[in-house]
Amino acid sequence: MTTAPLRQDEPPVSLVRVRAEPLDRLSAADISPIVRRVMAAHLDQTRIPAAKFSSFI
Amino acid sequence: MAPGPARAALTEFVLKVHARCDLACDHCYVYEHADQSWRRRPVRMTPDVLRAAAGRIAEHAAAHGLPDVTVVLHGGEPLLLGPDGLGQVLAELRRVIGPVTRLRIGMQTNGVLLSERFCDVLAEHDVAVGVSLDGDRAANDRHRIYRSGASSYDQVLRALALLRRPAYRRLWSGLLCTVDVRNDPIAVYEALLAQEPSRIDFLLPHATWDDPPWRPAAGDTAYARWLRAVHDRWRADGRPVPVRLFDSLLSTARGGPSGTEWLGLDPVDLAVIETDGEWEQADSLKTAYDGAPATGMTVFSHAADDVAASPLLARRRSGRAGLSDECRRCPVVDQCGGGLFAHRYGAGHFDHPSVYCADLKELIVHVNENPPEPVRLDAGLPDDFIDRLAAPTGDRVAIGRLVEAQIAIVRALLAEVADRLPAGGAGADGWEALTALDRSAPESVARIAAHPYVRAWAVDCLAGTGTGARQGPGYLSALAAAAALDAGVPVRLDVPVRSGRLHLPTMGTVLLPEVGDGTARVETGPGSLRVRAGDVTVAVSPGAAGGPRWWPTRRLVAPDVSVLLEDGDPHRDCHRLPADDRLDDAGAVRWAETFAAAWQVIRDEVPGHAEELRTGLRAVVPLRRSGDGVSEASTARQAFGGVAATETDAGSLAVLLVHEFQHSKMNALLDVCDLVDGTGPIDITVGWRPDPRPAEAVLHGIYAHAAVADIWRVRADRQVDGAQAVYRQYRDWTAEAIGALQRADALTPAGSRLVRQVARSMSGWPS
Ligand code: SF4
Repeated sequence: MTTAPLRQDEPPVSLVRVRAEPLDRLSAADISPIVRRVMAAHLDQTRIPAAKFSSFI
Repeated sequence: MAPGPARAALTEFVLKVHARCDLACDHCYVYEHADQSWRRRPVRMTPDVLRAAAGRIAEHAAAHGLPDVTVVLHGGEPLLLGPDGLGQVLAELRRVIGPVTRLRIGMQTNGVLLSERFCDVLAEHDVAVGVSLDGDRAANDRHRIYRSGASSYDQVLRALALLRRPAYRRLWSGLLCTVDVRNDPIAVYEALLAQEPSRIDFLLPHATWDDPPWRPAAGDTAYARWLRAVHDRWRADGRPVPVRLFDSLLSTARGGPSGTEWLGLDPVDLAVIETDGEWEQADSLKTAYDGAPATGMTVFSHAADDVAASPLLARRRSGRAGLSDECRRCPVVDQCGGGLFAHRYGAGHFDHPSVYCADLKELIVHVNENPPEPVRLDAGLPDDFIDRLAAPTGDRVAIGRLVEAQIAIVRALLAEVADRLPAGGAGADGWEALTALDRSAPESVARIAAHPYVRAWAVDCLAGTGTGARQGPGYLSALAAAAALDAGVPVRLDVPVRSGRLHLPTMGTVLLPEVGDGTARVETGPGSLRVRAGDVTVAVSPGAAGGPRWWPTRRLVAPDVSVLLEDGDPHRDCHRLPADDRLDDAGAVRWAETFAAAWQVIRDEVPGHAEELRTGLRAVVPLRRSGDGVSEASTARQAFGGVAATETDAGSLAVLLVHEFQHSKMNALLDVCDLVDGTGPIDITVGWRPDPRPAEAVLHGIYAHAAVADIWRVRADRQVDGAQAVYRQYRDWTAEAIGALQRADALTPAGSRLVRQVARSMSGWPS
């Protein structure tokens, strides 16, 4: 899992390229922003866990 | 009338199954703080206490009709029960509570005793495991030590390595870190993140006004500074993992729930059961004064309702009214809620702000002023794309673009899953095969990637939230085998088997009950599939009818469309409503007939939508009918092209396919385009629901209901009985919601453009 800070002025990542390039030629720079966006949206929906106690369920 | 606090239900129960701990952390509230009741309690919960406690929980769930309850095993240290003792506790809880309600079990542990044996027991009973870790070695050793003073760090790391194994990964629910401001916040954050938890929470050390927290200088808001530093780094990282403290503040900033007893005004709905069966209020109260959590009730003498009605618990459920004057006047009270109840204690009462008040205020303002920045994606979409997606006539080309964008997203997710695979571990061969197929048979790989529940799996996998029958990263091999089968290309792969089922997405399921959880060797060839596990060999020719060991994925077919009748993919169960099990042949035939008839209706009434569905709809998931027989349908955010529904008639199926696919389109659009301004209001009143809705949900509703209104407009035009009223209802809801959303100023320019287009197309409709 990367912890390198994301620069906010990065140009948008191209989905067209990720669709067209062979899977094994995709770099972290190609995929990370997409994964971040999708996971952030997913986690936004599931972030608030039902458990209120100081434990995780 | 809304039920008063006394009748409110408890939904979460903390069970003290073992009252001692093998560590001696000096920040632990159980042993080191004011309440010393642990000294007189039995060391472990006895079977009769456990039975009575489980009985009380079941009784409470039944009386209140609770759809689920959570039981958290806590201590002391629950692992001190030993694997057998723990297994007995879990079996008893499932036996007594399981038949009454959905039981979620969690356990909070220091991890030092965790072993494979324990993990197997926890996996068997589906227990979510939270582990306490305070950061890197230096940070952790500051408090989390043995009585001898020895470090627990290596043992905890060993436990986390165990929980990262594919077989146990789904059990691990997160890391709990108690803040010490003497530790470097970034070093702590990085050390926690390096363990790849699926969730993190930061807890403030327990303290009261009588026993305040350590600070470098009086009045110094060191806790706010520390948490701000972590927050800023987490935000700059693109929020790679949920951090409950920050997520809670982001949620309450938009009027959502806090999800934690530490913050916000959510009513507290939990109680604690001690080893001797005594009911207690929040555990953290042990920090206030000796006897603070006591209720004077036990599971033998009192029901959970009695505990819920006790004055302190009732007060803690009374929201703002239960707070001190200062808190009630505070500008951030909705988000802070006065902090943790225990931290308000001082001079014999709780009528104070939190002892962390200044820190909380500063942190909340900081988080509010620095909302997360979305990542921008370039999907190569033309300028008029939004207009085309808003066109009431449907636009097949636009849907095609969304499909391509979805495939790109899934490819990125797959690459990320592969990136996290341990070298040579489960899934590595699968990834190699998949990348080779991506060059030799890209269309087959694309077909698998476009299956809605492949994305649902990948997201689950990356979030570390897959449970039950869902698969871990080894499922990459199943994807590769399915793509090879689609292409008719030979591969040989070990593919995971879960609960006796080996699933090849879009293809079908091989039944291997003798394997249980394990792997089987899959060999594909032109038109052939062979699966071997031990002495069992299953040979299938795809396209062949099902048999005792092969359940092919069936299709719903009409003259110009063919979609999967998805009743086998383990990841289809992501629709909030429970998916039905594999249908028998008669059930599948009924679905096929209804679908074919519904398709005719769609083609006839809204041919534009038929074109869109033909391009984007991939799978229909049968849902289990609920007790009251109401028909239900759903789309999932992570499953573009999948619609789940209970069995219904053709006319209704036609409407719900169009309706749900609108949601699917909206989800796909939201993937690539920011439509809602994240800082906008969240409580917009709409006609179709009693509760106020956030802007994104209203946008979804507008988009879906406009399409439904369109169908009923056509039906009304054709003088279908009752259609006029339904048309008007949906049209009015949509028009009102458009007005409310526009007034709320909650949309980005792209979102506004979409809504304007919908409004424009509706303007020509009859009144
Ligand atoms: S910030 Fe302080 S005054 Fe405001 S609600 Fe929280 S504890 Fe109370």
